[in-house]
Amino acid sequence: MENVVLMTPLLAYFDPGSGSLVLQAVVGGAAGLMVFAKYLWTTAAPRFFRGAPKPSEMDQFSSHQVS
Amino acid sequence: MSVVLNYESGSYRDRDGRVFVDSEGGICRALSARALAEWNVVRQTRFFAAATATQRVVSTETLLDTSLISDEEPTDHWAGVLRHAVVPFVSYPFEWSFGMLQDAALLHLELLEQALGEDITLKDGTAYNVQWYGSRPVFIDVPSFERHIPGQPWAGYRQFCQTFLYPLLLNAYKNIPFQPWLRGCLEGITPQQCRNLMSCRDFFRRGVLSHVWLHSQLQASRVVEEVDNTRALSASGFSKELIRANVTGLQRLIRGLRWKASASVWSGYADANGYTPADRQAKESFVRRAVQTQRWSLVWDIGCNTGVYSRIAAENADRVVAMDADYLAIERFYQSLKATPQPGTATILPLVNNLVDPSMGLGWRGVERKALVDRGRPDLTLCLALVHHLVIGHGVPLHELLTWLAGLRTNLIIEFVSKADPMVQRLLRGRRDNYADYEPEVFERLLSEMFDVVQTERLSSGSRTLYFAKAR
Repeated sequence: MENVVLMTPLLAYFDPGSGSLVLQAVVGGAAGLMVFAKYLWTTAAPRFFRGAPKPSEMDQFSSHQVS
Repeated sequence: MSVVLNYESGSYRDRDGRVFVDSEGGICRALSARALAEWNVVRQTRFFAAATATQRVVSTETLLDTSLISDEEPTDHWAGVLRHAVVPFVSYPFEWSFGMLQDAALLHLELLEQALGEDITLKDGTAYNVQWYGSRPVFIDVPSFERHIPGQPWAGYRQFCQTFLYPLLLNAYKNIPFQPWLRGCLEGITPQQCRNLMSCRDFFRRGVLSHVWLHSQLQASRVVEEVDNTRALSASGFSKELIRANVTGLQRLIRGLRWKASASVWSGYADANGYTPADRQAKESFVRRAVQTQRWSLVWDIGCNTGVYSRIAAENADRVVAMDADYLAIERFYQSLKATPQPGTATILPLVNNLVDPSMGLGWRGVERKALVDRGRPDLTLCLALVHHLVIGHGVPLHELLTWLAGLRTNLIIEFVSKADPMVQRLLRGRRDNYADYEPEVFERLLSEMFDVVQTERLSSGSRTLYFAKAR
């Protein structure tokens, strides 16, 4: 059930801005920075580092996978 | 039953609800089944009851009679209807002063903060969600409140930055009035645009590095764009506490912003306009006598400056809209109204508006945001110490000015200042006097051709004459 909730996409009637969503972790204080770090590790890091989640693992966050 | 709903032209973006005007002139809102379900949750929350009781959110009732629901268009399937209290006069953020936009932003954040306490969020964040009861902001877009889904960020954050935060930063840090920017683009100022307007020094100012620079970087990032960020953030542990932290930070940032404006052209006018105390008193009593001849529904005070005469008009009016082209004059009047509210039931709404460059219809089909004259015509207009600025200062032909006023079908309290007056002399300095129409005889002839002049008084200085004229 929790997973279902977590995966509910944000459906606004306008473009909320991809960067605007992510920035909300950065401006959320120390706890937010931890979230931002994890976000970077799972989404951006695979492009640059070995050992980070493999592309197949991060596919779950690809916007093209959303049905 | 199928009836044609008189949709409000500015309400079309959110397909879950549309505002319409009912047959009695009431402001109603048709809701989709989804929005109705959200409303039935929101209306039972404690924060919402408190916010409507204190008029921070517009008073709203659910209409039991759903016969209004129709299929005017095949795509419209409404499940419920709300009726909202009517705001005295519709205005837009590009007509507000710095302090008004600041207070509207703080109201927005305060409501979001309180809503989050009961697992409710705001699904958007635009400054157009706010209107005014006089000098008090009120949140009008009730269906913006809906249940918060765990793990999701605030969808309205970008809108909030573009229509509230960046305009305020621009005004406070760069001394650039935000009003022309907001009028130029209803979506507001983008993170990229705001970043480009900031200098290196500004990046050390509060809020710029994160809300502006980093925001624009992330918005431009292709990596970020290619990711489903809601899911990725959720999986990374995003929680509503982060929204709260952001809201608290924004509140602190916005409360701390100050507009350090130097004295502007008109804001010192009342002190420097050369009235003797006797003339000032005579003018006030002339205006008061005219105002007291009847109760007025809507008064426009064009060129209100410090708002002295707006306050006099409000003694016998339901609504006064006080307008001036000068940002600082409106800011000072707004702060004065906050500090010393107008007694009684009248509302005074100060607005930045330049008669020679007024708010016109904007947005989709040019009617999404209405022109000033389409938002309510006045039954009384105050036009004091203004005609010389329009005719000599801006070159508006006198005949055209009076024709425009007559076209409003408004009663009129108007002042004519002759060329002998020091203020007019100052306007004429460095100009060729091509204003043959700007003479008292011409003014009186035109005025009496278009209005019924019922009262006239020449002030003791001899260069200023007041007229109370009735619409024909």
